[in-house]
Amino acid sequence: VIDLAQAAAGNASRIESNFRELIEERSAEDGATIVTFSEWVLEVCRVSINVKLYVVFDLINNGRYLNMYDAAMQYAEVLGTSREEILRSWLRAFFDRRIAFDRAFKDGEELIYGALTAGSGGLREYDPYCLTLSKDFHATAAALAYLPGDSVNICFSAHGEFDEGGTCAMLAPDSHRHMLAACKNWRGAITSAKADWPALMNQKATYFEALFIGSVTLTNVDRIQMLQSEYERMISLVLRSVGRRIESAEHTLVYCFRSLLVAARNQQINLEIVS
Amino acid sequence: MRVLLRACSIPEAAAIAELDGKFRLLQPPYALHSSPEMSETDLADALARSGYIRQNKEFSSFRDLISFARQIHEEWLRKVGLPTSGSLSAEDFIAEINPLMIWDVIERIDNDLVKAGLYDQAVALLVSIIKSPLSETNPKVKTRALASLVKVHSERAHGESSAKSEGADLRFSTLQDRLVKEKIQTIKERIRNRHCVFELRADT
Repeated sequence: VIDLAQAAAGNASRIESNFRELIEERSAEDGATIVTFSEWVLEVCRVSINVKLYVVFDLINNGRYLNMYDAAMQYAEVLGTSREEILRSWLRAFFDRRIAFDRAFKDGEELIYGALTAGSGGLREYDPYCLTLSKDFHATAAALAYLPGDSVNICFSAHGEFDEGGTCAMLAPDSHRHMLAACKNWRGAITSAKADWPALMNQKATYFEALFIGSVTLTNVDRIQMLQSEYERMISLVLRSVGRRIESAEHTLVYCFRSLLVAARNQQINLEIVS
Repeated sequence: MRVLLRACSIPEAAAIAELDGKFRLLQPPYALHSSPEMSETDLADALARSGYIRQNKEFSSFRDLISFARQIHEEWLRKVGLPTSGSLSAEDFIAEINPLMIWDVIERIDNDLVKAGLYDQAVALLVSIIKSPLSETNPKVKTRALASLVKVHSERAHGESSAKSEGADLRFSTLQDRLVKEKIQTIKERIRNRHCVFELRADT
């Protein structure tokens, strides 16, 4: 059984030496850019989780973000089915991989998956609301580590077998996240303008998965970013719904969106609209 | 027309439909602007990560498919104890929002509701803004809302009701119509490219 924090910490010195080698191998100019990029990652990038509106609603109302297993249990209780059945229906093709991955870790069912992103709505390709955790979140997490991509893809062989050795070797501790990011994304960093660096951290192809054991609550969610397109959809729906009977599907959205607006007004959450 | 339901997300009443090999995300309010096209990769992602459950049901129209999505969503709401329908008063909404949002709301009343002919909603919201404590503390808001209210009454009186259908042009029924029209257009193009001499009527 892998201890997430321990395995990641064990890679710290190797990640550091890889980072130094990378800088030494490049020209002075490129080396300086890579260092600047790593410093930028350290300063700007945060652990974030992209979610749907009803997950934000749950967070506001229950005060706590549910991980996949907790949410599946809640669904199972309501629907009168088993947790596994819900997980199977959610994960489908990835069910075996996700379960194998989580079971390989100590307290694996407590894992929460996020990403190391640079604002701008995070991994917006996944979901339109981005919960950005506070800068000091790592201090409260029982364990926090990063992988250079999606665990259900990069931690498995071509035949779908979990690669325990390879996974352990890829894990980076929080203290070395910027070096991991620089080692993987240095080409993008030196060939693009600083203004484009967020795109390197915020897209499927080049993102970093953050996996952790800890509690995500309203107190450690620094801000919630909402995509402009989603805001347009919701505000239009709400304004058009005023004074008329609202049908179930629209009503749920209006209900959840209103709770989001109220939470923002009451400063329970810091809501940002990002284009 | 046979529309295939490929996946749905029950809590969101969202569905991924397939028509002629093209995927489309249908989500409330099931309007054209909220129903983007999707790729097969997006569908796989939705199934793998976004809580979508795979489905394989055929429907004769988007309308029927959406009814099905609504129905399972309602069953879900009953099970989790959330209200299945309700209403929203303009006063409540105006009282709930951040005061900084008020300018955006007024803009949207002018540019969205009025243009769509949703005068009742526009009036209710503007009156609520005018009566709200915000108008007392910020006279500019009151002045702006009053100006908009005059405009709404004027537009209503002049019967500028080209969008009388309350935005129905964007609703799912028209999404369906539009897709049918697109299909007809494609067939017409094909016929034209084959140098056929007859014209396909839009109502065929």
